[in-house]
Amino acid sequence: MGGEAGAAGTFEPVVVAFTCSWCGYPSAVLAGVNRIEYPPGVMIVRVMCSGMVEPAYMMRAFEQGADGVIVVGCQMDNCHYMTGNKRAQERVDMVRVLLRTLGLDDRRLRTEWMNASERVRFAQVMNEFVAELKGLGPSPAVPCEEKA
Amino acid sequence: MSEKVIKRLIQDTRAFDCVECGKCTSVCPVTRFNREFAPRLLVVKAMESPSIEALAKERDLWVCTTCAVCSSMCPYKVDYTEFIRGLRAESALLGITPECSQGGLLHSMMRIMGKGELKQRRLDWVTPDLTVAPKGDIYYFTGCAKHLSTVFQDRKGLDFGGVPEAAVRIMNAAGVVPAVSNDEVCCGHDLNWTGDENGLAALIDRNLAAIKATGAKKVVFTCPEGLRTFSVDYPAMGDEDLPFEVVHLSQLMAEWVKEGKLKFRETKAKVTYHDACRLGRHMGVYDPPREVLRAIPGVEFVELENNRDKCLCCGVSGWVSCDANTKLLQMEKLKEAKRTGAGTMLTFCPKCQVHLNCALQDKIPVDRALVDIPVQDFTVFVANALMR
Amino acid sequence: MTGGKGETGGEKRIGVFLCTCKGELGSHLDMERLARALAGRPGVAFVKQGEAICTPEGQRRLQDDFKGGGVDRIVVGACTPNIQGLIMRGALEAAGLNKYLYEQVNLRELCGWVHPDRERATDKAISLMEAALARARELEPLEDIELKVVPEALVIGGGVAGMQAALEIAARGFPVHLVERQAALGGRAYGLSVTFPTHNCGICCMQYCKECVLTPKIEDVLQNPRIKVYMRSEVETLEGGFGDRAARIRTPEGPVDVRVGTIVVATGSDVFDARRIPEYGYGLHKDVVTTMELEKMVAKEREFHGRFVKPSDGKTVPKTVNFIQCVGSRDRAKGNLHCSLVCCTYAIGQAREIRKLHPETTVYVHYIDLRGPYRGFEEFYDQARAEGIVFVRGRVAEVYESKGQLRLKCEDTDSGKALNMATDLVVLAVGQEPARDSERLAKLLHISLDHDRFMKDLNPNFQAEYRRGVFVAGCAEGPKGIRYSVEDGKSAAAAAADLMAAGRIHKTRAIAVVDEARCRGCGRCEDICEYKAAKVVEKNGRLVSVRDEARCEGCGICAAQCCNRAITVKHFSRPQVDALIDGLTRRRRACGGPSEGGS
Repeated sequence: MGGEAGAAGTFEPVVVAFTCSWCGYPSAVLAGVNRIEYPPGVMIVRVMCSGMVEPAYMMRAFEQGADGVIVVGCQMDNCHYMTGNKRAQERVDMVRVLLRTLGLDDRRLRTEWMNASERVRFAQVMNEFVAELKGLGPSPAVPCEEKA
Repeated sequence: MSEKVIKRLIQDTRAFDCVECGKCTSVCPVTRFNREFAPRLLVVKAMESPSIEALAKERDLWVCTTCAVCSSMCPYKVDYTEFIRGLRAESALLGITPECSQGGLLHSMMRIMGKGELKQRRLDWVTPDLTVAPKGDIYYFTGCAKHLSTVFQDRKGLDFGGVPEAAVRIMNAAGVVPAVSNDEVCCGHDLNWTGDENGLAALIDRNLAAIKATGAKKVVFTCPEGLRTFSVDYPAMGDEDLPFEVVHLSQLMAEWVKEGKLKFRETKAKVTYHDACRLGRHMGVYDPPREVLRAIPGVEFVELENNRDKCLCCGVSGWVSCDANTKLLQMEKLKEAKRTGAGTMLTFCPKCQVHLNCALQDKIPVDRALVDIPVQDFTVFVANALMR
Repeated sequence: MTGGKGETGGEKRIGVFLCTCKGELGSHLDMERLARALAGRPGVAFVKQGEAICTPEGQRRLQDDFKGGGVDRIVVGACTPNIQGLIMRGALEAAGLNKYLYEQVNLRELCGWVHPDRERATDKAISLMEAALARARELEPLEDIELKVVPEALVIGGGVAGMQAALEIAARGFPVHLVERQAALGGRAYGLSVTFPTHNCGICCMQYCKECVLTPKIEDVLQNPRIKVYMRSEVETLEGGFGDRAARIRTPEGPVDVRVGTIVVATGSDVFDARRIPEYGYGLHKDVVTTMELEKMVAKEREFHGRFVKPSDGKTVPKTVNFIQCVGSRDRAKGNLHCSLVCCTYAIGQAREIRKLHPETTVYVHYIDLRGPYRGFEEFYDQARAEGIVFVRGRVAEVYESKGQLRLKCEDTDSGKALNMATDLVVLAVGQEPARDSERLAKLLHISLDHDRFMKDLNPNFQAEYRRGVFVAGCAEGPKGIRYSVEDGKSAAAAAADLMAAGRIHKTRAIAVVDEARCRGCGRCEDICEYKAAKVVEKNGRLVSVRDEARCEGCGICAAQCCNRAITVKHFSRPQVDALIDGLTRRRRACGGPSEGGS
């Protein structure tokens, strides 16, 4: 099972979603309250602020097999901690350059900025991201090996 | 189990020959500011309480910069740096990993390079005015300096994009067309020195295959870490000798200078030179860079107080030993450089450049005028001095 | 810290509880498979299932199992940790568990409820729980920080909300510093002579006082010995953290420094500038006025023996008055999507006042929807119609002058007719919008602005917000009328007084700490900290960064910025986050993603 996008149906992208406690995570929880569906490959890591997400965490996620990584935080100019999301965007931009140099499609790393009640948008973004990743195929950073 | 491993390490590194003379401690750059640290004490601790786990959790194991000034001064040639490297490898097997600068970002990238099925963009620096080829007798190892430029993009003066270009420009001027390969991966130096031998092994396989495909018989490095890793650690990990010769660009440049193949224009500059530990003490390459500098008209070369095998370490190795004392050490180093009166300190090692320039951009506890001497790349300097 | 912790030492210290949420979760996830998968994981001493562990019996079981299970940390797989999770955590705390050794996984909102495929959802639940177990192994027990709360309050804004807050706080025994930008207290309400729909229960800070019962009196505020009022003053700078802040107030006599424990922000809202809708002709035609200006014109006749006349000639009584509603509100083009709540009530009230004084004047109210949040509004509106006020549904398109006569164009959407009416007076019911410099103040106080630019309320997800001691009351939080502003002032005051009465607050220990051995004193954290909690100081000949525990908010921006990883946010340490990342991606590493089975 390689990186073929055509492996229809069996590839379920794993997305590590770093969500901030003030906007990203509440949006995700509200999506749940409203039963708005999105794919089960989306795994949420709650942090206090999107600005807490270091480049090393993003790269580690890819190293450990994530097919996509997304940082979800407050809207720009509305970060609960003032400038955290700006820092996060800068760091994501930097890591995308590193990904390109490594040979990973930089679309695998993205950010999304929303306020705390955007439940529909949260699910929408996850659905879109997973669909895009299905098109890109499994991350070549961790090719499938035989299980021991 | 730990005992056996430690015994083997002691044997392999001749640590048992240590007569406790303390010479290593007096020259150790870490001990200068961290009075509790001493290279030989680690060996003593290992012998007294042979538990890899306990040793791994001590800071001392990770604070050593592995600059090898201890081994080079040691009358019995105890290989302390190898002892530490070995202990670190054993710790990694137990799942104990150190806190690294950048949080291990670069180490993650190296492991991805080793395991992933990726098509990198490693040769973006090649422009139409440079001549390289997919095959050739001489292979130029590009290295990972470009990644450092990205990670440190918010620091002034830390852009290594110019180094591979400069190297190829010099080689082309000497009539050499080097082979380069996009399938090359990180040499694995930082993984090696943080104990990840598995990560290193994966990278070795890929690099050997990439170089083999070019048919090269000689691999030339600008980066001292790549040089040392290929020369010493690759054969140590594998079963056989490398199928090619490994050489540093300064050695080739010195030859070309003697053969009159490199012509320089008048370059007015007063410079000093930092013997990066991986080039100097680890690989014994001291003279060639000096020969090259002396061949450039107008360059006034002044030695550091502590030079050649006594050259003071830049403070960090493998991204793992940086701490408060490192900062003080770097201040000492920069003060020494500034005292030479030179306008710039040249070195080959991109890491030394990162660490020393980083220190200069911090808040510092001393008067900035005492330490602000820029640390610049040797290869780029030489390429800029070439006659057009 | 160099020399990290590995997975050595497999003592079984973790107790796992899975809750089926009264069977609800059980229908979305295969709880049995989940329990089986977790039972053998490293460090797990037991896996117990419960029907509803948040109920009293459920909590008792938690406590008993914890005490008897020989574990020192708990992982719960259930609903959302921020609401019911606090109940479970509280119960276990009572049984002796350190609250930082409690980890709850949201299997409901983040898993069962959003993934219809039961198999896949269970696979994901297993991943989520495994990651939580990995993190739990790295957790450390922590004690909350105790900070003192200075027993003095700062109230910014002397409108009704601010005055009420000041009076209530003072009544509870705490000194208050009340800062007002204008030369008088009372805010916008001060300019009113009558309020609606109550008519007589007005506000005693009005020019004409009737029977003020429910609202704060200016005299009371000025005479209260505990309230120090600073007129024509503004808060210039604010320093400090939870419970202890130093504010510099710029007064006409010079700067004044005060030290307070709580702050109530009652800075109100701005009135929409009607000139921004040029088609209504405000500023162009003298006889186009705002509701605020109308108030004075009507009061002149009602209270001060003057005449209600057209501004253009100063002598004619308007024969026709047209009210235009929603001016500057419910208007995306003007950047104010919100409804300003009070304009309908207010306009109808003024319309009735005009008719009372001049029954011969025809009054039209042009509206889109009529909204009245107050009790008594329906009756008020019915009476207005009975009194002959004409309500026309349709937004006015244009006000213009033709042959010396003011006219307006609109549509009566009920009948579908386009109308072009002659009018003597057009009254614009201007709405409320966020105060001009609310951004500056919000930044100073670290209050976020919501997407409509009003200051954000407490976040229901996080009670920690309350402990910062900064409360927003009145129109600063969103458009509202006098009564609701007063109520807001009361609740902000109660919250502030509670904090000050307690004298101390417990602040979460999940804030940044610096490993001084690793810190190089580079200063980048100091530059980046919004709360001035990071400072580089000299210690023993070297530079090192230190933290002010009261100011640090635990955002972690400095920790991510520190290139040497000398800073850790407690309870979000690197090993803990790494454990989550590794755990969540484990199945993918084992090749095949969440759909492939196996452990």
